[in-house]
Amino acid sequence: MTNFYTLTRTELVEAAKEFKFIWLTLFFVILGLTQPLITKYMDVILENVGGADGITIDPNRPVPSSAEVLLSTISGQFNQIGLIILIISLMGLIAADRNSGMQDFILTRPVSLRSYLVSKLAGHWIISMFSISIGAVVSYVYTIFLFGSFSFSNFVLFLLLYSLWILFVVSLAILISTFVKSPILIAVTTIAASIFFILIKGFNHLLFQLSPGGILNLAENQLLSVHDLNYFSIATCLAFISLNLSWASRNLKKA
Amino acid sequence: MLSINNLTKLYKGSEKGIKNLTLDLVKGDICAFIGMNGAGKTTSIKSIVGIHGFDQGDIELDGVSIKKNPQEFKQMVGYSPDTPVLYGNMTGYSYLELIGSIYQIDNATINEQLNTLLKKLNFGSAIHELISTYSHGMKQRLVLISILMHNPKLIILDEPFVGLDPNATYFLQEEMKKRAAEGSIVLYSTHVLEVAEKLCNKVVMIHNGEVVVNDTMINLLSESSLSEKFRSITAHE
Repeated sequence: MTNFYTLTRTELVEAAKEFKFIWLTLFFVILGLTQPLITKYMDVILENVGGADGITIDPNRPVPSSAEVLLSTISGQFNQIGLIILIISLMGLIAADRNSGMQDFILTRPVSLRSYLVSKLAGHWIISMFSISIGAVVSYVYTIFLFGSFSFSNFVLFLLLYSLWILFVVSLAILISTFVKSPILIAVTTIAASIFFILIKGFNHLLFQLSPGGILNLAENQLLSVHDLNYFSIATCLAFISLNLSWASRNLKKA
Repeated sequence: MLSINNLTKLYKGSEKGIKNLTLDLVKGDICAFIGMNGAGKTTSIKSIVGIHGFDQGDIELDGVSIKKNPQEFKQMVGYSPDTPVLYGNMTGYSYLELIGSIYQIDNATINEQLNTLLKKLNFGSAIHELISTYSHGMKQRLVLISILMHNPKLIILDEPFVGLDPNATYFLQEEMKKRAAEGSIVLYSTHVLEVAEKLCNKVVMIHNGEVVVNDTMINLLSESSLSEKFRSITAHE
């Protein structure tokens, strides 16, 4: 346990020294900020940038609710562009250690593979959720300011459930890093696999239950104020995370 | 006691690696591990320190198997790779604190060890500077301090003298003798045969992944010099 704390702390300190906390947070803040602003002021933006020729914006269009705006920020921005950038930021989490020899350094110390992998998972999950949470809170503040109030407790519950999805994505990046050496290929494969898990949950109920992506529906339900805590989705997601880590550990042991 | 039994590690799709390495070293031994480039020295060393898994055999240190109890085994080992790998963003001191924390050494012991080792290696105030500013030799010296801090029973050094200045080289040779006299086992790979002749009491030569010499230095030197023996083994290459 001590080694887990030591290695996690090292990951966080290294990320801080590489300014990862800053640039990733700035990125999610910009994402969180733009969606409510664009939704509210689309007509003004089009008028001012001079690109409105031929485009008519219905002046009587319904004003979206704050829940809908938050949902489009998270599903549309965070879980698409945000996810891609996040995964790109994760592509070196094992590969860089392997290429620099740092993995050898750690494996020759009295550190278990599990401690090593779990510290990677925890460290990068904390960095990711720190950035995502700040971006999401900025988005929340702008949304309630522009579109009306929204339950803060529902928003927090959403973030908690969404953090499980991020934990799964980080564990997936770790697993793929133990198969593939090229960081670019790691990023592409992790993005493709994440999209796959998001898509298959929509095919039928069984796949929804068996996909770790099911946790996203559960999270989004909190924004729609549908209080359905489907524990099976939570269990599925946790089972996949555990499976990813065990598989990654097995791969490293064989290497 | 270090006991290596029939250690075999072959790389996939290749005959390269190490075949049936058997070696026993006891407390106080300083053993030179000699061979041409690509002979299998680094593969053997990486298996002994737990970087590589292996296909067959086992490695035990004082009865603790690296297969069955890798963490307890590694707790007793200090390993210096041929190229020092360090966190460039850390200061030397933070790095040593990290190592101390991994080996669960208390701060008082770390400071006591550091006072002695830093003086011997002329580190001075550089220990509080970023590792990225260090020369190769300084990085090598930092690694040496880090592997000796927890008083390992087995010290494994891969080409340890490369990049060290004469003072650091002298320190390392004296430290190897001192640690061996105190009961540690020292195993190191080298191409500097003249130094090995003076420093070691055991010698292992490896060629094409197989052990071709495993003897005491006294026995071997009674027949020929280390250099002559090495040339005779590798003559056909």
